[in-house]
Amino acid sequence: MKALAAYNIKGGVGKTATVVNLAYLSAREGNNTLIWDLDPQGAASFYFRIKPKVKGGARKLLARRLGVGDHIRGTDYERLDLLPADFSYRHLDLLLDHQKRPKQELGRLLKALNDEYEFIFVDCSPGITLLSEAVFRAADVLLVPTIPTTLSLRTLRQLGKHLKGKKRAPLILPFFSMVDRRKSMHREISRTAMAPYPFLQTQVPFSSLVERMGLAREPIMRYAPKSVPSRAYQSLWEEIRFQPTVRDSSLKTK
Amino acid sequence: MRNPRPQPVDYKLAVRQDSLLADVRAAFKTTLETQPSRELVFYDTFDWRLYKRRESLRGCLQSGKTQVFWDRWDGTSVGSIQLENRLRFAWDLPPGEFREAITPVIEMRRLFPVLEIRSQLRLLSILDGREKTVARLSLERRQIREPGTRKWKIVSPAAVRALPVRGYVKAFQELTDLLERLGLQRSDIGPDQEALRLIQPEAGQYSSKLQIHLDPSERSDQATKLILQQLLKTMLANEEGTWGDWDSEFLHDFRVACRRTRSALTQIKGVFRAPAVDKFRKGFKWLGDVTGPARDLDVYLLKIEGYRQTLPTSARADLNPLIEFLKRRRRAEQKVLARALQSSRYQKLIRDWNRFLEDPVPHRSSLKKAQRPIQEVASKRIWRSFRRVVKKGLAITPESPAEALHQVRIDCKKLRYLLEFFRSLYDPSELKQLIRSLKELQDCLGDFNDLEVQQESLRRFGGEMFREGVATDSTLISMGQLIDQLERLQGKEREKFVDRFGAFAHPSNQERCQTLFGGK
Repeated sequence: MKALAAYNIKGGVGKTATVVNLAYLSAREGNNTLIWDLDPQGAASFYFRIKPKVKGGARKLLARRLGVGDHIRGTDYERLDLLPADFSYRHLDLLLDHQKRPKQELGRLLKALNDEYEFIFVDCSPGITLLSEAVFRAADVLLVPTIPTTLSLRTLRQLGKHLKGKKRAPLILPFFSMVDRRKSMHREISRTAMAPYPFLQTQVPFSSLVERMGLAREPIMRYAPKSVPSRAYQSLWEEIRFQPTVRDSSLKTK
Repeated sequence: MRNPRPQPVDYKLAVRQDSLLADVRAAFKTTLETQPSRELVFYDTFDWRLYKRRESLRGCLQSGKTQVFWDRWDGTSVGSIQLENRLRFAWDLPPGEFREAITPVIEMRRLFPVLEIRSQLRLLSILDGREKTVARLSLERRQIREPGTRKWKIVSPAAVRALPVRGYVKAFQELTDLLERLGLQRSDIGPDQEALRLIQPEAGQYSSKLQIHLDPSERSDQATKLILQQLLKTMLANEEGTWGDWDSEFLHDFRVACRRTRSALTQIKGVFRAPAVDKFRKGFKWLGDVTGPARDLDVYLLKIEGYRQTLPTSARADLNPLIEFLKRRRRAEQKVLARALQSSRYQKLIRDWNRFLEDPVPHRSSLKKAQRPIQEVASKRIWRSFRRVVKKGLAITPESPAEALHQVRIDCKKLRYLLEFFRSLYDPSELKQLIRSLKELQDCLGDFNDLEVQQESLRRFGGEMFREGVATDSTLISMGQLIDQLERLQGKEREKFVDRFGAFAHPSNQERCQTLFGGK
């Protein structure tokens, strides 16, 4: 099982769209896939028409009295499940703080799902909290959708520095998201800032089609399969899929 | 974990598909999707390894690539992988965890298509108030056929499957309740397994193990013929795969059946007339000789990767000329083997043998043992064989030459074959311990012998490669290192022998054998 977390300290960069669309592609390919909606806004859950409610809230989730499996809901799509968000997640980092080894908690919850899914996509909330640290530790890959501005690059650099030298740091895969080719800064930065950061080749353009996901309540491949952003996500998934860390999906046999 | 992935339920369709659909659509809010027709291929090994594990390997062609799904019969999935080329051997798969998981299951066996399905799926999604899919019903019209043939069989009735969506337990319950009210009966096997059984009635049955049930009072000559008939059946089952070189195990199973046949003819003395026995012993010896070299090479090639790992990293590539050499030889031996198995000599042997086995036994035989009950004859032979192993084994000292251990190995084999032939005549729980300690002893002696043989072969190969001009200095040096390594391992096996023989010849085992076989 590989855990890929879409993370950025900034909000509104396309984390949820990334998670929803890539997870759909992963499932369509035949991989058992789970989306874990960790954002109290519950956008991913909303897109899949799943109530952002977890019985007992964040506290019960951590207490593991019910077991993570009980909260999982199947989406409308084969092999794609979702662990919904709950408004109580806004307190998750406080609750984690009370646990014995807060940063390892998430990893433990994910491990329980090891046998069931090949990929788990985590939709993180913006900001940097104990919860984010827990995600850094538990995830195999950090997908970082980045809007091509100088401030975004600076934030990315901060993240890189923060994770450098940490044991169990995930693989950081930044990519340009919501690229508006009408803006000269976007054009310049997306062209020149590829090195020295290991940015993925694929860039996802800004598109109102993607915003329509909230109305269609489906991944973009369903309602606009041949569109530019749809193809971009497919190409993005292809690139991510063949990264060495990601390529081997995990299997459990008896 | 509680609430694990929910499982689908299969039904036997008792009513017309369209009326079923109408009834379900009337009871719930639904959407219907007709999926494009697709073709699926199921794979398994010749010995049905996946089937026996209650699992299936299904390939689906999707935009030029094959998506392979590895599922359990209960509907849960083990894993999947995307392939660009054909699915044949585990080592053809791209490296990764799928390959690592499937390799211990299929090992060196080839995967063959066993079933082709052309499927038209209609998927009915049951929706809740928010238009969320909370359960599904799939109705599949399928045509199935045996791979390699042209004709499709229409499978009726169509396959109906209720598919739960995780976390929506109540909705699924409502659906299954409705289906039952409409008169559908649950099916205990999935539609794929049902289709497989239609196309391959012998699915899951092949085994290279001897599974024969003898009646203790049966005449010895008749009982022996039963054993030999089953061995012939195994040989014939593996014939095509052997000369076709489908995978290395066909040859192996063929040869084992051959060897057991010879052993039975030699060891179960006095039940058939000598001229017949002689003739067939010679025939099967020829068969063993002509297939031997190919098998030996297979064994090396299977082992060479392991050996390569024992060398220092810098030297590993040096073994490549050896591997190429072995592969070339193997191809040449395959030609010899294939010619032999298609020769008239072979055809005649099999024909005559078959006739001999099918001829009824003479009503009154002049041979002493032929009419004695098999229980008696078997026990005598086994007891004698057992005593022989013990005697020879006790004579082994640290100074005994390798040849002496080789002899014990041969005697152990004879005993083992006898136990395999006559297993059904004795209490399994009593035999279990004996067979287990014998097997461990044989493994040790087998390894010892293999190591001996391989050292000799490597020396020989080295000489031959040198003469052929394909051996570089570094290759020869690496082979030399390998030989040293093998010699060291052989020494360890000899030490192991002492323990294993001790366990086998333990007084408790000897008493047990006395009771079972020594008799009066």
